Amino acid sequence: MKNAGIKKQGSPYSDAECEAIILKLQAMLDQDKEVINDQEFMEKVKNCEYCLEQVEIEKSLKDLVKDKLKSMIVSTNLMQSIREKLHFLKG
Amino acid sequence: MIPEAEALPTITEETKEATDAFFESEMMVHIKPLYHFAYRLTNDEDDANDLVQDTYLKAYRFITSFERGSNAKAWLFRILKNSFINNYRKNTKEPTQIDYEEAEVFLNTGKAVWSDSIDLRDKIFRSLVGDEITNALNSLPVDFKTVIILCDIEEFSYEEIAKITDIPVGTVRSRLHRARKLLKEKLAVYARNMGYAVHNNEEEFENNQDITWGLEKVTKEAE
Repeated sequence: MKNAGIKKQGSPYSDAECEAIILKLQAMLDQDKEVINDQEFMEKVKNCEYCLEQVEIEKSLKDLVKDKLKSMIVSTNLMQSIREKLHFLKG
Repeated sequence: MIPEAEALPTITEETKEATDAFFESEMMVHIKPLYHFAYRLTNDEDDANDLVQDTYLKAYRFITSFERGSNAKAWLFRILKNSFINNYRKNTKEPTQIDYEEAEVFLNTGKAVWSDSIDLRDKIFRSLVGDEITNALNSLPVDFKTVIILCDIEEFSYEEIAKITDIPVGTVRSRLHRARKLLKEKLAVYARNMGYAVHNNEEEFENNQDITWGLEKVTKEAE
């Protein structure tokens, strides 16, 4: 993938490295055990200002989706309709 | 995996009462997140209601294939997702979407090169309303939309998402990454339409001497 990384000016990482890091940062925010248990990666993130900034940006996207897409109200008829159909199915 | 109907054991009379009690206590409690998921997939209240009903009827019929002690919510989500794919995906009510392969090409040709330079902490994104986020999400290929809903809204783990969507955990990870990249692009379009400049072009990025790594208000017109 061409130039898909964060590539903030001065970043020590190549574009490909940035891309791989962002994927893992997202996984870290998603509590993916494989990444969280990767001590070497977690240490690298702690010591990289670009990574820490990217963590905040990725967290913003997660928060934006969660906060803005609130729960829908479930129709009271739906539960009743399901129970009726289940009752019919049960014979 | 939900087996074929003819291969399933039927609920016997002696277990029927216990099964009904189990179904009520362990399955019916998930109706709200199921409806939420169905609505996000179909974008239609009636279709979402139908999908949730279908899911519960299938779940009841196939309840003997549910492994007691395992994740009932994830099991129901999987049935719902499969029902949606089988019965609803070809429905014309589905909003206009870019094809999955098309999205992959887009993400791999460099057209999305600076999507990660978009700073989502900017107040412009916080000012977006739910409808705009919904539209951006709905414009993603359904496979991308599904993993974002399951991860960011329903907060399933990668392992649970893998089981619901029938893909390996590694694919969940990479699909989420691609989905978010595309979602950022969509949100950048909204930001652009609202009068903000977004650095999403390599040449523009390289020519800019004062790189802000994100959004900057368009001031040229004001000047």
